[in-house]
Amino acid sequence: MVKETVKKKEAELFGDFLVSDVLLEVSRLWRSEVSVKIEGITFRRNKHLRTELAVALFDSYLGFPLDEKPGNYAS
Amino acid sequence: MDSIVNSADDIADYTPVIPKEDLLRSEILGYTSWTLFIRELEKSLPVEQRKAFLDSLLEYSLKLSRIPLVERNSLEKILFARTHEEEIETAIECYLYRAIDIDIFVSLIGISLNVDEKLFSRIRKVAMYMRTYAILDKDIADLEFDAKTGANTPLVAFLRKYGTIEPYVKEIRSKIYNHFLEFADEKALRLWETIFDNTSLSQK
Repeated sequence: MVKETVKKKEAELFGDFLVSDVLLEVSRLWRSEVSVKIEGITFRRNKHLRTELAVALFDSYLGFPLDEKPGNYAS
Repeated sequence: MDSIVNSADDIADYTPVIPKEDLLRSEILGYTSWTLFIRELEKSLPVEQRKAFLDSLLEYSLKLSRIPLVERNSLEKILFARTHEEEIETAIECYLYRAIDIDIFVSLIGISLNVDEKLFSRIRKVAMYMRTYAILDKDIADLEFDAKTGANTPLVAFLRKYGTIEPYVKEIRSKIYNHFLEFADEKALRLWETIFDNTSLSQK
């Protein structure tokens, strides 16, 4: 009985949940500046702008914008 | 990375406002993406930088995981503090601790660009103080929601204890800025002015 309930709950929660779908959505998120919804849950990217602050600091101290350097995390 | 850290924050701040089912799904998605992200990021780095990256990440994750405990302890300490100094110092310590959430973002760039260690420590310290200020701004903006949901921020503690936050915010701000001035160089000062005059980084 307990096992059945757990199984039912799992199906309710995850349905046809696929990791590949998650990957696709998350990769979209990494490239975007907006939040995306995955399985009804909002993943937000830029609420605190930590990345932007870190990039601004390195820009300032190194004297060049990071997005002009190949292979960086700012682009 | 931002989205993963935000998800971890949402999980830590769980309140009945978020249905448990959503939280569980969010947790699974969060950890799945975290693992995959780290794997991909590690692969993208030159071999000689991978160990430094993984070490930084481990240190960061451990520090980040302690934030909820630090927040809870700080809230109680402020509520039961007997002196004004103790309240303010506890709030500042809490904000400085929360600001470690900027650390990996600085580390990743520092490691990938192989930045000189002395410069790297300086940038790290400046980042921490700027982030402290930004978090304080964020707490001000979120105060109503935080008070309603029972979030453990120092400002919620002041609001509960005194019914106001204004004089405390003013003093915390001023002390953080004075600490910053003790070590800030010209570049740091210029950046501080740019960012906090134009509130785009602190208010969103």
